[in-house]
Amino acid sequence: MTTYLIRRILTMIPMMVLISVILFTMVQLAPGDAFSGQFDPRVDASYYEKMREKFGLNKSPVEQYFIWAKNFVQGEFGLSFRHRMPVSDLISDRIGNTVFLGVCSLILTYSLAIPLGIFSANKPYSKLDYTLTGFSFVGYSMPSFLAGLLLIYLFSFNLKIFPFSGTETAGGGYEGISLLLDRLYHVILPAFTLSLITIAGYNRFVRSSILEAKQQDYVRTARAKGLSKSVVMRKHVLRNALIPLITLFGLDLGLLLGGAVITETIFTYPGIGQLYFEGIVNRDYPIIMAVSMISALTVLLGNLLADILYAVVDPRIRYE
Amino acid sequence: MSQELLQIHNLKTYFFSDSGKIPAVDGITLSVKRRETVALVGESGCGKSITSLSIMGLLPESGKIVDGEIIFNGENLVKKTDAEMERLRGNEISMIFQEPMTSLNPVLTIGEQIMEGIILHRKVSKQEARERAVQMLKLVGFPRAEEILSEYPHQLSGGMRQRVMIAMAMATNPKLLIADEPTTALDVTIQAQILELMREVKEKFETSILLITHDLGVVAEMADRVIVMYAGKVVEEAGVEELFEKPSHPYTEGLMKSVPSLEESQQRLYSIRGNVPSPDELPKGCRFAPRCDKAWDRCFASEPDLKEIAPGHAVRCFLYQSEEGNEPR
Repeated sequence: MTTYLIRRILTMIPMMVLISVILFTMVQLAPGDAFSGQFDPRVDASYYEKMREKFGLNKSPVEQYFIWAKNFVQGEFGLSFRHRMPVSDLISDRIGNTVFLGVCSLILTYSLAIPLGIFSANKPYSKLDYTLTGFSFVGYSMPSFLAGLLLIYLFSFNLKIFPFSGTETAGGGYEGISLLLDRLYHVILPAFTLSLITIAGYNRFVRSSILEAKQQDYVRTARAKGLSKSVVMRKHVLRNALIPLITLFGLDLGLLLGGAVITETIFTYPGIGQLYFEGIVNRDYPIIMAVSMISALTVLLGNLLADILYAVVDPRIRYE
Repeated sequence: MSQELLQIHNLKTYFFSDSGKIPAVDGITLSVKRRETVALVGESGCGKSITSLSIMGLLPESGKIVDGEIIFNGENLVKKTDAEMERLRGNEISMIFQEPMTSLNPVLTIGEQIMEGIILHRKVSKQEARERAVQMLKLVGFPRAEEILSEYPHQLSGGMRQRVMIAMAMATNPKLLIADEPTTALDVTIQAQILELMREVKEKFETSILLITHDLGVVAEMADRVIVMYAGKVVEEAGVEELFEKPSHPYTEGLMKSVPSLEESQQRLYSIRGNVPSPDELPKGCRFAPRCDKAWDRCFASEPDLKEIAPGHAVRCFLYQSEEGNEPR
């Protein structure tokens, strides 16, 4: 297991290098740079040239990549053109918010999708099952900007139940538990928006996985032992049916960050997704690179975590 | 205490689908005495597995017992509620299945799977259940029983898993063991070991066995009495020696002839022509008639009854039922 882990972590290094090259190329291929969008007729064009020189934007892309890579490896993510602040400070200010949003959305996903999937699988092809299928299709196909706007319209604008922006009440002065509650109150709508697609997908997945497990011979064996349907469900069916969810968990850990870009922007929720969106609009490539790299690393770590979890819960899987 | 442990009277188990009802088991009557091994023989799809699932009360949702009774130890199982059946299953009636590779839960240890039945029915502590599990595993031939308890099914071979299944089924000392093709998925040497084990276990626990199989070799080895099923009906019933000496129904004869023999050198192995009719398009008259070499007009017109032709030997065939002017051709 240890050698397996070391090998897996080592193979991440070339993967990250490759990802960084592709990302950097894509950023460079986009027309313009951080200063072309700020054009102001009152400012002399030579000023921009000076700034480009100062930030190294006039060097060749290859040179720029190596300068970026050298700094990045040393933990120096560069200076944001827009904020005139180190990117690492910008990220560390916001990453907590994004992680909070991500965790809440994961909890929401699992606590809703698994029971809904079980309901569906208990009575397949029933009215309840078809209703849930219908909602899942809608939820799965609705883009998050639309879902976010609809939720804001309904719950913030019409019903005035939930706030539509921020992470906490401005000037609320909450501390401890009440601060946590206030933050939860603010995170509910964005977290629900973010998890809508995973709730929809997971509950379908749980449903079919349970239906498949119910057909297995060992379920019949368990029933033949005299165990009741609910015990068989809990002890034999669910254990087997929920194992494949781990794969989805590993993949979606990274996707949470990606999905957060739109969601955080709509809810003006100050996380790194929103930072990323600003970064793209302003061609602020140190931000784009840093957040993309974090996102890529999360995907890789998520997959590694999924593989480790597999070995923990499924006795058939052992890594040499 | 009556001598009969299990009596099935006119059991009809039908499956219902959008396209209509399918009579998988169509009025069978059979009995199993205490300490007796009865073999239920027939081709795939003749209803023998559905019979066993009917006894267990584990029919798929589309299947339903529409008529008949299953008297086990004096009580009609057809009338029992789910909860009552749960108390019986795995306790008084146990079952082992054809596929030992998939019949055990891959993510639970052997110990957990044996112990859960013991704890459920015997209401004992985990420690006592554990001791019982070890005892059972030793009995079915695992010298290192304690270690096996914490192993997972994938660590065992097919034969070992079937031993575990037997240990699991017998742990509560059931009165009836239903074995649905217990050796079909195993290779021949392992088959012999498992059959031997089943015989030993039967002696030790004084259990009756309802053995479902299509393998006449297994029948000869294990059974006291044989019931031959065809297309949801019993076509012949006899003691094992009588049946092998005087197979009377043309179908039974066909089955006997299809077994490869070591003594005679045959050019080509005999096979009964045609296929088992699908239960939703059964022929009129005798269900075997379209495949029968001895069939005549009457066989296609009406269905024969099961008639006793010698003590303990019953056949469902017109060949043994004389009627004026209708001699076999």
